[in-house]
Amino acid sequence: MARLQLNDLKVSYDGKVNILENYNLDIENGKLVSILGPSGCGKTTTLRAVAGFLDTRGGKILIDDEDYSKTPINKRNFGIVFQSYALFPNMTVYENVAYGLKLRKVPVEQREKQVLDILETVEMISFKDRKPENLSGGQRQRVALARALVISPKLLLLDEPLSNLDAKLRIEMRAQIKKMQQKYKITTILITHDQEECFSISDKVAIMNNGKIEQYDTPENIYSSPNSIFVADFVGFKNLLDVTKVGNGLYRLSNGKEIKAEDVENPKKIAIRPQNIAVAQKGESLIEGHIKVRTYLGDSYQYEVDSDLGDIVVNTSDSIALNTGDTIKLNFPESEICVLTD
Amino acid sequence: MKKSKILTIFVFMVFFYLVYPLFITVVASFNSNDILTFPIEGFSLKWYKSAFSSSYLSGFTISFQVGILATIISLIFGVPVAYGLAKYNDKFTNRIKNIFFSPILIPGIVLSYSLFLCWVFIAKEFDMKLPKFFVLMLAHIIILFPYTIRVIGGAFDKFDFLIEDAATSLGASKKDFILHILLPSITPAIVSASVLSFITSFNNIPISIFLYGRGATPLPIIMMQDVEKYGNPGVAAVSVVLLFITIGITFLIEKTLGLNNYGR
Amino acid sequence: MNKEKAIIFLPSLCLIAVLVFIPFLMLAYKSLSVGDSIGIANYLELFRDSTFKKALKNTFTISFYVVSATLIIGLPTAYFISRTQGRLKNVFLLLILFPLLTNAVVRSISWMIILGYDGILSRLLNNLGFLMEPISFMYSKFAVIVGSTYIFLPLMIISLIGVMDNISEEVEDASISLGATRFKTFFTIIIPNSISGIIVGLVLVFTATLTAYTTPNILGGTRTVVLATLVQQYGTTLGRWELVSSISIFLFVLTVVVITLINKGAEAIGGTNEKK
Ligand SMILES: Nc1ncnc2c1ncn2[C@@H]1O[C@H](COP(=O)(O)OP(=O)(O)O)[C@@H](O)[C@H]1O
Ligand SMILES: [Mg+2]
Repeated sequence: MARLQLNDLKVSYDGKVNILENYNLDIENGKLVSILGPSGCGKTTTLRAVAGFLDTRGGKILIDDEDYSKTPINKRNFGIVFQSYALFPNMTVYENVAYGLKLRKVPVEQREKQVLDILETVEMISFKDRKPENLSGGQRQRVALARALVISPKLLLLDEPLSNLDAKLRIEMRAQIKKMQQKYKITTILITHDQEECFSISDKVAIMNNGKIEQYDTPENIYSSPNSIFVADFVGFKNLLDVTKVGNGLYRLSNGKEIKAEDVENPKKIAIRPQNIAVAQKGESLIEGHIKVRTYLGDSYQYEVDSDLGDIVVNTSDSIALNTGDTIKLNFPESEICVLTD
Repeated sequence: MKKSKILTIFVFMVFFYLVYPLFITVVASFNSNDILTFPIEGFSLKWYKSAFSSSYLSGFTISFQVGILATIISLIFGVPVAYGLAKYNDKFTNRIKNIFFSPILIPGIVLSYSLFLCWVFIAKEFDMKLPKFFVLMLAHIIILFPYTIRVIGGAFDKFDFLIEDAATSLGASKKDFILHILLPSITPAIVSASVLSFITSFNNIPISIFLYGRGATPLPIIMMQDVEKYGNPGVAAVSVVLLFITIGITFLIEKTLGLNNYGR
Repeated sequence: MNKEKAIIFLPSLCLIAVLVFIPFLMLAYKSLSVGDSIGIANYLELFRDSTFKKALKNTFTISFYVVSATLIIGLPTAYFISRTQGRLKNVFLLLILFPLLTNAVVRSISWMIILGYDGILSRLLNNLGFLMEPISFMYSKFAVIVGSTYIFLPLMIISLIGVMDNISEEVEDASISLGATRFKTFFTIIIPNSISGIIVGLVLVFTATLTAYTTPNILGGTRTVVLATLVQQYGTTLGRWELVSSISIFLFVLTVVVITLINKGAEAIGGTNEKK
């Protein structure tokens, strides 16, 4: 139960280069926020700074307005789920989960009850006497989650918790994480580089690039209205085209054609998703080109189209497939265009 | 990773414990006095002159020859065994594995004595006195053999034996495979095994205790006898010379093989 | 198939047979032969021999202290080195490995200077007021223990670093994030997960001390006799050859028993060497 604010956080490994600088993030009580970004952008660094494994060089880590940036790690009472799960190999499942409570000197009976309760919740009760080496990836993940939650942490921090699992388990486990997070109403930061994963369970998403948060919003808003070229590209706007503004809500493309879209000052590019491009049957069209590559996606075909605007990627759910070399005409529906300034 | 101050101080004391005695030896070797003391009475190089006296030099020669020969022979026997142990994983192989490692279980001085008994037996029954140098070398082979198998085996454990099938399918004969693929791929291990073996042989004392004789006394035995007899700084000077040779070798290992290949 | 195996293994099997098994059998036979007959008289004699009993007791006392000391010193040191990164780690490893590459005489003579009459330790204690006059620590159990610990410590540290390198730092982080101090984490996480390395280190150091010859010979001399030096003294100096064979066999059996016991003990507490 806590609100987390990161104020002007500054973090460095070597004391010279700041990996994070002027880093701000505000997470409301009980919300699950994902930090999404490409590899090396500083996600883990952020999490380790919050957890206390990295000293901050400036800024504050506020939990309900109390600064935690100088609190020793073992006094912070944050639950952390590590990418490798980091279960204690020498202890059984039960002992792993009980460890934090033991350190807190929780009386034996109460401890036992709490441990068994949470193992029940994560459906690991029947494995309680096993050693971690005899568990599957998903099971280890559950134990790691239980171990982090049993201490009733102020924050739950998860660093790419699902990246070591196969696709099916990932979906199952993210539901599990969400369920636990809501059950305990715990403020949570989830690190991931998987867009679908974080959009599906997060209250809010922070898109990170190069040590900075590019956009911090609800998944819906980020999905429909990215605020920068980086975010648009990152969340699947595969087509990004240069434009110049020629009138109110009117933009000219590099092939000279003009399109209408929401009015924005100083636009640089427009973005549109492959599945939102319309295939024109006959008559006027914005773009004409021929198909270079066809890919079957299961419920649709994806075409790479060579046009006078460069390569355009388009998905169609038509059951009749076009062939490589065929000519195709495309239109951009006004409502699906996103205009970007930088 | 933050480390606690107490731990850091503790570990630096340990390093002091490990390094300080060597430092003392170096200093003591420059003593102008006739006994081992620290601090020294005066500076002199006279003990280095004695370090290059004929008895130490002949000891060095013996140790060097024994070390080189024992290393080569134990490699000749050890490489095929290491290969076989890594390739075959059946019951028979696992059983004979213990035989090859058995010399480790026998204390060096016991091995030495048992070989001495054989020497006496052969001398008595067949009226044939085997040369001491020869017996010394045989004894050192035995000491080195398990280490050789272990180091070379480490390389073979990482070797994918399907490569042998691949080579055969490409038309390679057994000999081609061994010469062109197998041996080149374990060259680093052979080098580290050689260095390790040679040093082990060069430094080993117990295995020689019952086997050395006139004209065949290894250097460390001579050093030990001198320490027992006089405790003069001459031995310290020899030690320093050996220390610097060892530093050179260590440096070479670290440069060519990396430390991680060593000591495993 | 079997032909290949024969080519590979047979020469070395012969080598071991000729150079290890036959000599060993000869030794065993010798230890059992009394004049022209066979019996255990030599062993009975051995166990009546007071020098042997003293040597046996010394060997165990010294081994016990050396093993304990190397373990207690080795654990924090190995942990420290294993958690150091980059070039510095190589420097530390070099410092640890280096003494292993020099012979035991080289490593023991400095202890003669430190422990000898009016040596460094004696002067230090004089200056601190613990001693009134210079003394010698040489040829005592203490000397052998200090010297052997010095010599065998690297074995322990290297064995420990091997396993500690495999304990991920995330596991430690996990422990600390759950509320443990670093100190506590060392005892609850690091040590229990280092058992296999501890066992290897224990076996190495215990057997090395049990059978060590050079250091006890130089630092213990004839005053503090251990089994290995007794073999040599009864043989070449005192000419009690009839006992040398039985002491040798006894020393061998002792080594095997100790290794077996340590490994059995390790299995019992679940710290076997197999890695999954
Ligand atoms: N231990 C470290 N020492 C120095 N630089 C580091 C360290 N860990 C990460 N970095 C650097 O910090 C940046 C961010 O890394 P990280 O937070 O791990 O990225 P992410 O988790 O988003 O993939 C990278 O440029 C990386 O090179
Ligand atoms: Mg990361």
